[in-house]
Amino acid sequence: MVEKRNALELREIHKSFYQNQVLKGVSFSVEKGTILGLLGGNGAGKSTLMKIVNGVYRKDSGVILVDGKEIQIQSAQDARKSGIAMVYQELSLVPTLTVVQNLFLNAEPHKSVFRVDEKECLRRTKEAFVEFGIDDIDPNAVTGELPIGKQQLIEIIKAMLKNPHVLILDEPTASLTQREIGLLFDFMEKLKAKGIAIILISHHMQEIVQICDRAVILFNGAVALEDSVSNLTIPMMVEAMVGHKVQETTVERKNPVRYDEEPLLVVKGLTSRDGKVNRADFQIYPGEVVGIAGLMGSGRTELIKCIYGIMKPKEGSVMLKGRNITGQRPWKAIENGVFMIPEDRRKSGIVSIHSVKMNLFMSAWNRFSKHTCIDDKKAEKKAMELISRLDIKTTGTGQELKNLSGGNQQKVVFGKSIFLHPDILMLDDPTVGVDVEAKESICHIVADIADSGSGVLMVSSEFEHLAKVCDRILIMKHGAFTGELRRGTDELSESSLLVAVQS
Amino acid sequence: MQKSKNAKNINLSQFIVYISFFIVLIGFSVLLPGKFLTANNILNILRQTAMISVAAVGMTFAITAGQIDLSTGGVTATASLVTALALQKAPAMAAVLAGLCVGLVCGGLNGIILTKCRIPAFIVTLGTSSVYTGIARAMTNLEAVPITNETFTNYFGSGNLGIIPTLFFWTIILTLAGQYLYKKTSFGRAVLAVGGNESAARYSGINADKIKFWSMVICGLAASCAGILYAGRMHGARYTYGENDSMNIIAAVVIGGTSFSGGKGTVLGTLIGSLVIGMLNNGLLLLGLSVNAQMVARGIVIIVAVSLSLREKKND
Repeated sequence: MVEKRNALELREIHKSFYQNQVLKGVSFSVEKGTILGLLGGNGAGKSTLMKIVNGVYRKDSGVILVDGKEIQIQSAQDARKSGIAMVYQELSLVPTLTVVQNLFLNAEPHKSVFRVDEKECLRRTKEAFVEFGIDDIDPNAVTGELPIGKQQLIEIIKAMLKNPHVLILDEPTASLTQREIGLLFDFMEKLKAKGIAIILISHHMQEIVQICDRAVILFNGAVALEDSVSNLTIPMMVEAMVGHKVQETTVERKNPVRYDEEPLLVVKGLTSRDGKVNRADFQIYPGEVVGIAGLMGSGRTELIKCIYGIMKPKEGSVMLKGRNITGQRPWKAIENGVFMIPEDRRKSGIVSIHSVKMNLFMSAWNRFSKHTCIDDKKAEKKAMELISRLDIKTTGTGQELKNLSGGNQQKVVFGKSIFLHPDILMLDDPTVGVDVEAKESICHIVADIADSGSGVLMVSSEFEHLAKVCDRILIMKHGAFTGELRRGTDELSESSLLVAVQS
Repeated sequence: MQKSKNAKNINLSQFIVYISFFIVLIGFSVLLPGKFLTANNILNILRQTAMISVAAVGMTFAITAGQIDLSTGGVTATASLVTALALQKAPAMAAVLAGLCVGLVCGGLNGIILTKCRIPAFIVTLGTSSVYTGIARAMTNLEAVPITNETFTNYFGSGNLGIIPTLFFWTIILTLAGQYLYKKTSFGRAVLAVGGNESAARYSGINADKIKFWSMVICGLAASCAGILYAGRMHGARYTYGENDSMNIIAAVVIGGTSFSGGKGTVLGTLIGSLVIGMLNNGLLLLGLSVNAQMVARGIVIIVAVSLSLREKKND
């Protein structure tokens, strides 16, 4: 045959959830022995599409061809049998088992009904290592003790043992160091040479340009751009990803930032023990909202944790209103005038079995006590006030948080910080997992807090929200700041930020 | 639909303790006509149950904070012996303080190991339980220590205040003190927060280790109060006091509506819960069951009662 055969071809894939059309006829293909980069913003349909290919969801209509033959994928097993292997962002390895045990987990060759043929496992592992050119991993090493980059390779080899035609990698570089990414890319080149088709899902456009042959960019459930990467530039990809969205209006502010005053917070050379934060320098002025834009793994979360005291910094200083608060313990933070809203609301933000009131004042019941006794009437009144000010949808102060929607839960968390009125409020991805309306009100709440004279440090993976509310946005990469965009002087928009974090 | 279901569950779990209280009360009154529901027997139950009630107040704090204390038996025994030995040379007040010190030290030790070594409370207190019991046994070489100080036995055991047994008086005082600490102070709220979601509590500026430490201290103190009351009631101390109480105490707390996984509860519920346990122990005895049969029956009833109290969790 003259033309190269497609390892995987998708034709007109449609998928709706109830009224919501998520995929509107997506078609593209991957040739054997090539790498395809798949890009798309939140809600573009990227993960839905991959879940359909991998048998987690079922498509409404459309055709999937593997190796030129149409296949029906009803389940994850079907996908595997058809030669599609997927490696998720979260590794599926058992950290306490050895490499060999992990590779053959639940697929062990047996000597008899009860006895696993361990020699055969080891032989096959060694064979695979030779085949894929891996010579620095001990097959009998305990998996959890290996560096994360090697674990990633093992995860991929595990997928490769099933001899797939197509390998899908979901954000494989997110938690890897630069050197490990290099190793992974070398490895992908080897797989490519063996004729495997690879789909690489990534937010790092540099990586796409570096390793992929073609790129497909999804926007709003359809292919917005598909081309050979040699014809593509990062600004072109960003444009396709953002689409022709109307630039959202920025949130209006009542009080200007007081740049003429002393900065509230001065961070100098802050370095965390794990090196994820590496000599970060910045200041926040009274009334200022400072955003941090960075990709996953840039150290943005760790930076906040280092300032708050959840993580201990190794070097550097944090000064709040001229006082040194470097390495404060988190229970001293409120007293010092710092508060943070953590990333994972369910895990670290709320007590879901407690009432709205209990959650609102979790940090500061002592502000209601007189001779150790809590004045519950005063607390009740204050809670009602916060509920109406933040427009929290609840049946009352006594409703348990688990019965509130995500957006309203997050508003309660904001209520906590408004009540404390800290000098510096730090937010870690506050708009994730809440509905559109709540995202909008959260942006306004943030502006309100800054208007009251506090400084806000906001990390967000949703760049449009940063662009909307921040006075200044710092670009974070490998634990330090590589650039700054200022309202008034620079263009603050989702696309300008997307370009900035890629460079 | 879902909301109404949840609301129903909340109501149920709040009332389950009262429901079990009346089931047990009415059940035994029917099974033992003229024997169970008499003034004498009721006073008897209140006296018998005081030690469990008092220790359960402390256990409510430990369980609410997401911890547990299995060492209460050893603390109770050691505290009763220390009190009795101190009474041989010192006045009642000093002896009581000595007994409380046992609870403070034992509970504090539990708390320190728990927070510094990051071992689950279950394991820590299983270990210290053995240590404290061993100390109690060694202290007098398994001998009982008699108490002749009548002031002490009057105020902390066999005496009455009017018609109220002093034991019941202490139960009420300590329950109310516990209820105040639990419901009305920021410490109590912090205990609830730590038990409800430790990570969220930490991010909210609560020193979770400190809260866990003091919860264990309170639990130890309450267990030592139980030891002092045992000594007062029995006019002496033995290493066996409290040794079989752990299950009763924990059951009383859970039946009383405190969530076994932490973050929710009431001290008043615990008091009702321990009265349920007390009636159970008393009623089974009056039924004339052999000790062996009593143990089997008690175990079954406790499992049923606790599983009823935990129903809300399963539906979650």
